[in-house]
Amino acid sequence: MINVSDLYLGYSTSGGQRRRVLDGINFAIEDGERVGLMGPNGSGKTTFARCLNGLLSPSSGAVEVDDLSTTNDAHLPEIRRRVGMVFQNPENQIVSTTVEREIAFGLENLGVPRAEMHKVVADTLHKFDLARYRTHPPHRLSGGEMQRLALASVVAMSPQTIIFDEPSSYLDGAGRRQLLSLIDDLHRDQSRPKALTTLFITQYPDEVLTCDRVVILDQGKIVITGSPEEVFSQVARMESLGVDIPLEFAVNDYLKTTSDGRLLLNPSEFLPIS
Amino acid sequence: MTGKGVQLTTFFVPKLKVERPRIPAMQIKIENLSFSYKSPWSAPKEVLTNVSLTIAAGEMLALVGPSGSGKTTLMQHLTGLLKPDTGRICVDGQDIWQGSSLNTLRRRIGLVFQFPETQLFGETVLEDVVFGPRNLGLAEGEVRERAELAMQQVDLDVAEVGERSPLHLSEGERRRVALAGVLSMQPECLALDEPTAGLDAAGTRIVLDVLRQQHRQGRTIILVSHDIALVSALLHRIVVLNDGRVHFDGKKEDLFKDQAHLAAAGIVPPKARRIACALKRMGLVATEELYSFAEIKNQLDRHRPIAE
Repeated sequence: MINVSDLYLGYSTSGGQRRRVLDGINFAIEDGERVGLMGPNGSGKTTFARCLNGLLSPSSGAVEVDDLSTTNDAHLPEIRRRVGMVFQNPENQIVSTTVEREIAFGLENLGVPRAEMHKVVADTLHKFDLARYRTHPPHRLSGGEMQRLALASVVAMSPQTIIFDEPSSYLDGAGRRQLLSLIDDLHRDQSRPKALTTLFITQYPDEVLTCDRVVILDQGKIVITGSPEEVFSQVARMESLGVDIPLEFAVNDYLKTTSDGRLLLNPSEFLPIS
Repeated sequence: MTGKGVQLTTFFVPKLKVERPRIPAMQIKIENLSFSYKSPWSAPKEVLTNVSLTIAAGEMLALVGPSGSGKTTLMQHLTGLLKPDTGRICVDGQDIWQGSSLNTLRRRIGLVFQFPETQLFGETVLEDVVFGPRNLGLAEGEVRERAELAMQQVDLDVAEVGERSPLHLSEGERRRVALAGVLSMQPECLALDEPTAGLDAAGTRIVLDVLRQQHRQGRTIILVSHDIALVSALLHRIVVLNDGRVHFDGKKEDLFKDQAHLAAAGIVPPKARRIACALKRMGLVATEELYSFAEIKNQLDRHRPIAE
């Protein structure tokens, strides 16, 4: 599990002022949990995500991954093995010259024995439907395929947690649906010793409807947390924060305020189509 | 590049002139266009096949289709960034590759690429926005006026952000700076590639408002997007590209009626329409042809019984 207590992170602006990007965050994510994180641009989502695997260090407060503190440099390699990241633009995280080497890259760095590495690479290529591109250079893949490769390379290292930082912004509808259903599959994967933990950052409320919990960040603070239903039912609040809500929740809110509210949509009918 | 500040200190004139409406003149006609990328490593791959499309002056339409369907490639043909292998593009009846200068054409058609904020280069926001009109050789007064107007149109305060570095703005603000840079050229036609990708709800709303406003002023708007929900909420005519061919060209209502057609192009009907279908089954609205929350509310209001 990841435990965040009293996390502050600030930096100095060019005007010499101190700006707090993260302003006292307390947060825990249990193993196997699926959490969606939303918030307006500039609310600190990416900064927060980067604190969770030690890419950024808190100004004060603590981030612990299974009791390993991110402020202890000696723990960082192990923390990053346990907490993988998938970024918005896969081009920023792909480093190798072929698809196969990209998946092997992290394993090589971990010192995984050669025979085992070959097996994991082959399995991963198969699982992510990338086997036919084995020897292709990654930049010749489509955006959706590249994001799939980025995810595959992370999954190959078998992290307990994967953090997705707006992984769908560069994808089209089909690519997005495919990514979400891949994540569903990973959560259901019975072959894992422990169920995968995910934190999914997005601007698209429909993409967090299947999460256990949705967290809203605003100006560096967690301002709302709850089940998707609980969070998205706070229509006025979400609007004032500038965070989109799924359309069915907006319509239900309108039905409640304009009629007796006896006839409402059933939100579960409008989960993302995959 | 001139130094920082560029005598723009007298810039903050609060009163702004409203841009006068122009008479739209530009008709774009794409005739049997085919194009393939040539690569030394592989056989040429045809990206556009026999594409024909007529875009009337002042029209607003969307070009949608999955990744790799050829949307961006087609857009790059509009200003002659790519040259068709066969077929042609005519603007006001004139083949753009015959005679008239592409430079003139590029002033008339403003292209906004994907993630245009990555192309900002000015030391300050204003420097970036004035770059285009200054290059047009306009008088400095007009350059300033246009830059101010453009920034106002994208809801950026000149006094507040004009002298700041674009690097210190949020992603959404940088996107709007890039957009202002194109608007300040006052092109007759805007072609935008995924202009709202990666923006939050508020940022998306501002960009869409800009498009509506530009359209009202008579500009032709070509919106390239994979987001079927977004475009169907905004406009009526949708052109679907699939595998480099025009798969559908017509009114959105007709597009969504044809399930087989949709499936073939990998299009899932927008959620608004799915919700409208559910509301219709519940007897709360009379039509499933609803594409935004505003349209749904409007229909619900119309069908609400007057008294209990």
